Amino acid sequence: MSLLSLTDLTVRRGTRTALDGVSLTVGVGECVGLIGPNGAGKTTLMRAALGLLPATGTSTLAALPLAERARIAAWMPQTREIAWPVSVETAIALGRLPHLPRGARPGALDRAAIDAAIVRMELEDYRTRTATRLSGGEQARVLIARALAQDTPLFMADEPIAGLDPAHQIATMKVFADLAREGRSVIVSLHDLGLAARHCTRLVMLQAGRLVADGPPAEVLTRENVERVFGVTAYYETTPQGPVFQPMEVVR
Amino acid sequence: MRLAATLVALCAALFVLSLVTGYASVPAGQALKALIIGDGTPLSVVMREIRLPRALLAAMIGASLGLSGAALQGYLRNPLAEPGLIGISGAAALGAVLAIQTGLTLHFALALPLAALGMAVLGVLLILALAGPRGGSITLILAGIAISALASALTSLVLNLSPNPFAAADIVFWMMGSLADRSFAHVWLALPFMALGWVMLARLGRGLDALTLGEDAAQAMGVHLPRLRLALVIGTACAVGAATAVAGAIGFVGLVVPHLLRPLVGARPSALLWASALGGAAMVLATDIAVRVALPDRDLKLGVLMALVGAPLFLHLIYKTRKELP
Repeated sequence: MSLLSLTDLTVRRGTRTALDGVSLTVGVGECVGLIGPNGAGKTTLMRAALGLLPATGTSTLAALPLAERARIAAWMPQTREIAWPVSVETAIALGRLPHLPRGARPGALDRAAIDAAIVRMELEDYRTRTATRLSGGEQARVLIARALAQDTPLFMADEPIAGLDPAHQIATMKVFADLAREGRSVIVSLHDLGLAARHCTRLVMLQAGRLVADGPPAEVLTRENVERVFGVTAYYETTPQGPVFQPMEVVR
Repeated sequence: MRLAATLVALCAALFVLSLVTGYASVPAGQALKALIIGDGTPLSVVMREIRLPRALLAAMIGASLGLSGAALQGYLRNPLAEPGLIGISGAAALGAVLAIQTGLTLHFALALPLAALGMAVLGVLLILALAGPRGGSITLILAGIAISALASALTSLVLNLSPNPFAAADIVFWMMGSLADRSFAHVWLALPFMALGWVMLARLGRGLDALTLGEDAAQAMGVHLPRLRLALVIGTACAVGAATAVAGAIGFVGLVVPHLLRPLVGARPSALLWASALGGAAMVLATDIAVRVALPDRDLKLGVLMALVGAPLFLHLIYKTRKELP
């Protein structure tokens, strides 16, 4: 069963083609890492797939009514915005909005989802703190928890681990891998190819709006692909502690 | 809930206090009795025809300004937003000024509020046309600033070319905002618009909560932004347009009240809506009592006193906020 299916998705901005005929299908239990240099179209791909950008081609998600889409896919944008000094718990509870009928208060099911998200992101001690007074990395974890609380089959996040400390980067990637093992799917854009190689089940590589490679990390992070798309050489070995990927030198 | 009870009690107390405050000094008990029994004495006429509509209008206008201020701040995610920002009050004021200048008000008492409402409607149509079909907030602010500037330029033009100094003085005094000498005709004229505006704005809570996390996240949580913006603009226009039409421009309520109450509702935009409606009603009721008590023999304008109280209050809030920021 596929959760998201894109066919020939194209986004034009002015005369520039930000996304050029991307087709891909995401099934159940996949942790998809979206990789590519700055401006490759990672954000555009995810926003167009969610129907947040006008695009040609089709996206099964964008075709859904707004309310139904919100119960299938959660989205954490790259811009980390918490406009008001609400408590961490209040911010995370916002993720339950799509499940609540108008005017209803959160029920037991909602509380359970909020608590589970708080535990997953290790935010138990932060519950009553004011979200806007946290550090950037802490705010990112709150926003990831908010999207987790939405409790959707598909979880999409735009550079969620940027700005996190190493321990929380690894922990967060493990949360995404866990979600995939539990039968959900994750699409996450990231620049840390080492973490992508270790924790994603599948990588989608973009360059200049085009999909250039799609498959298991070992098939996507080949020497040619990494050199051609990112312009770097890399060390990539499978070690007893799992795959290790380390960019080494700039080649151009 | 405790906050709601406190605010309701405060509004009720100020409402009664407003009823027993006035030019004719009558013991409170006697005044309220005359209001309820309505025995046709001059006192009961004063209570029923002058003081009751005045107190009602103060509460209605305060609620409209507070509610729309909270809604606009929530939508724009900016604590400096206020109902005047989208230009509706400026447009309504222009309508009123035209009615005074052309002498329509001399022939027909309700010409002024009707002209103001008409111009407010025109302002809304212009804003919606300018702001475009997508749900963005920046275009709305820009359109509002343009309408405000245009309305105030036209108002200045009318004053500039006014051949009649009495009309010019009337215009200047009207623009200061007041609730003196209003009647039930004003209440019935404003109430339907305000009620419609209140309903539209009160229903925005959920969408405004989601907007705390930005427009992208809100949309992905199922909020239809263009629809939300349309309801916000029309709701604000109904509530604020009607308020300006019957009382002139009253500033600072929509700016200060949400700011003041935000920490007390845990900063949730949805909770701030009803709290600001009650808080706004209390603030206008209190100020309207103060204008009558402070200088009973001079016609101190509500809008003037509100600005005198509101501006220092706002400065204090800025000072407090500044200390909390890094």
